[in-house]
Amino acid sequence: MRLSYFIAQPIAGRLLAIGLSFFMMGHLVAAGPAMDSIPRQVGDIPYDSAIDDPAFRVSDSQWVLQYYNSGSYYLRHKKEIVRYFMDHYQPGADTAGQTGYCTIRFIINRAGQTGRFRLYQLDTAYRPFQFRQEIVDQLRTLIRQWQEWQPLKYKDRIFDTYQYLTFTLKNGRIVCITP
Amino acid sequence: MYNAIISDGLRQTAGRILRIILVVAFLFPALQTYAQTNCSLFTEPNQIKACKFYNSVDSLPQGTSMCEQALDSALYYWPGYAEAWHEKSVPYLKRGDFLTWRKYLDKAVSLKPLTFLGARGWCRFKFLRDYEGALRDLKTLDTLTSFNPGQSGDGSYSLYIVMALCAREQGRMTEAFHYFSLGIDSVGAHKGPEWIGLYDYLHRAVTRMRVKDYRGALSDLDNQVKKYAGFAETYYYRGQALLSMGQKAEAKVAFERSKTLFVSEGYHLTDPYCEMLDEVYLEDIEGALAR
Repeated sequence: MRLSYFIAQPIAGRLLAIGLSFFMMGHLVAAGPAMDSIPRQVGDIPYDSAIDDPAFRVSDSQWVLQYYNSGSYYLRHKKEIVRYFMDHYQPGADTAGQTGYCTIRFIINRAGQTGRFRLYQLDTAYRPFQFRQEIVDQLRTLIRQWQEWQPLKYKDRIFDTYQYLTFTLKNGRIVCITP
Repeated sequence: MYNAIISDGLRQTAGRILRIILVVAFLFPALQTYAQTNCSLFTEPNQIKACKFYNSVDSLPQGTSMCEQALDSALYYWPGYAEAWHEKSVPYLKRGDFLTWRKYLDKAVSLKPLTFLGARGWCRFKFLRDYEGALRDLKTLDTLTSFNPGQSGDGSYSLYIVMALCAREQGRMTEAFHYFSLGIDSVGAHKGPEWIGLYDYLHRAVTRMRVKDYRGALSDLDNQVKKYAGFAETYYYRGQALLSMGQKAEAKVAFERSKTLFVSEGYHLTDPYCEMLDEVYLEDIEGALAR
């Protein structure tokens, strides 16, 4: 639905939205935070030269869709993806207390490559937490090494796609992968 | 033959209606029903301004900067606006930033627990499979509502069924059956069978199979077929139950029906955001047929 909004929104609707935006602008500037501090979309991942691979290409950073905008590759293939992680992930030694939610958000580009990895780490009470670097590195590497990722396709057009995986870890072991 | 044509026609009509319901349900963009507020109900000028900003997000794509700023403006004028906090939380949930999601949703819950505790519990169940936390929220809601917790945000589940699944996944089967009974039997007895959810019998059947009550599971699967016969899962689990009872030939028929529904004629459990509990994949069905 969101996708169809972007693609098939009638011009009149767009003009109305633009008009409304300008109408509200005066109020927003006074009331809200500085506009530049807000990304174009919640969860957007801009290129960061300090951490991102410059060779990883995103066709149009304004048009990166969310995995749920159309039939997601991940949800259709979750069973084999989970099996892959369970078969390849090694918790390592001394993982007591490595418990919580480790979310890795990333982009699948139109060529099916992954990049722009970002981390959200929480304990089971949803407080910020930091998993050991070896665990995080291993999960990120496994995501990157999965060769089958596919971006969203909608009406014969392929879009760069945001995907995230949340690993529920208990003492370093994967007990669940969502969404 | 005439009866067969009528029956076919009815089946097709029912199928079309269900398809529309499913499409609407699957494509529904928000996780909690969003409704325009009648701003004239407020008398405080800042609340009226906040209300107008809140209503304006209806025409803005969720999660865009313009939408976020409209919500920020609403909250600037009225920091106690629970609905705006909730609406602000939703895109963070869908995009995996659960820290920010909780930060905003917890404000909504603290301001209006009766309205938003159910949404928090349901989303903990659905997006993170945080069964313990979800059940804690939903039990609190159950008490606050005098034992009428209502439906999940998208209307697809009675929250008693969500509670049953949370208990089941923690291995507490007696508790799970208690909540299934509240979500299915009590609802059926007091409100009528049409109020029983689309997936409820299926989930209870799978739960019964886990405690090796195969006859009970088959009975629930029969009820599921009466409710809606088009889910591949219904026949997959029917096949598994029959197999466990040693009825191999009948099981194979059920698995074949499951595959037909999965591949061409029907549906399987699916959701745009998350894998559903008890969902099966084509390889599960093919694996069962190959054994």
